[in-house]
Amino acid sequence: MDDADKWQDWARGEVSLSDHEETAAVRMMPPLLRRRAHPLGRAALEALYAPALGYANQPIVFCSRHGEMSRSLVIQHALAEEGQVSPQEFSMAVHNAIPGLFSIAKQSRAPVVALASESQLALSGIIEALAQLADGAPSVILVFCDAPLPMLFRHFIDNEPVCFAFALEMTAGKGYRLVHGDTALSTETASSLPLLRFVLDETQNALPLAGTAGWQLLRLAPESGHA
Amino acid sequence: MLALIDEIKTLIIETLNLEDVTVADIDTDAPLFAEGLGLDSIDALELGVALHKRYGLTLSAEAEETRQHFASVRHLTDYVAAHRNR
Repeated sequence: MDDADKWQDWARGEVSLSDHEETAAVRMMPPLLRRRAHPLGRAALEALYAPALGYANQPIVFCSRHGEMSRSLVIQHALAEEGQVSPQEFSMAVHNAIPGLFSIAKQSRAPVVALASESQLALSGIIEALAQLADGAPSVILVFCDAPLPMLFRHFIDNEPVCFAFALEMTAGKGYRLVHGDTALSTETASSLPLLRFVLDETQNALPLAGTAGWQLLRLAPESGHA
Repeated sequence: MLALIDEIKTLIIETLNLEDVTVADIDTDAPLFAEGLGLDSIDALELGVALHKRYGLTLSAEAEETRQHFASVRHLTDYVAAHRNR
């Protein structure tokens, strides 16, 4: 699912995401680099290459709770059974490997930050992007991606039900405001996909990002401009 | 020897996930790295592991002759034919 209308349908709750999507083709990436990415990484790369994003060497904030866990499991099995791991798999088994691959392909020297967080991933990504903006970047690319965990891990932790990736461009403006304070009544903490739904669904005015800790993302009135 | 050349090309394609590359696409005498097939140092390590598993060969990452064995598919085939033990 990669067209804007379908995502709008999803944001309105009219369709759900499927767990049977084909692996992203990432045709815009040179094959010698693309071959190193697994399905989750490919989904994230496809989002970064999206023509609508028009990537122009902005800093990238890559946010994923688990990253490519299927890769870690393959490595651990190989280590246990053969005592030898694939150098190729090992070289990609770091959290910043996917945005790193993208920055190599783009020959970009812009900063790349990779974040993992159990529940406050959306908040963490937004704060990091705001820090980059405050540090002088005119715009920052936020990438969120996750996938269902390998079966072995599913007994232990909550799991994203589908493989997804999306990229958002953040610039300074007056469209949204991150607030902390007496709006702290919510017990909810929005993760990646609820953040995307909030951005797409203009009927939502506030998104709780950290439960009772009180951080919220507010949508400001349209006449005050876009962020 | 021709069969072994194709076998090694197939091993390279499968081991290194070379999408869209077929056995016929790989020039037997072209360099495997940099300007030839475009492989990098991680690929060299990966191929070393694959050659060990398939043919029982142990290549030293540091040795100068390893560089020569990896120069092209033909060099690699000659080396495998002469030294394989499985």
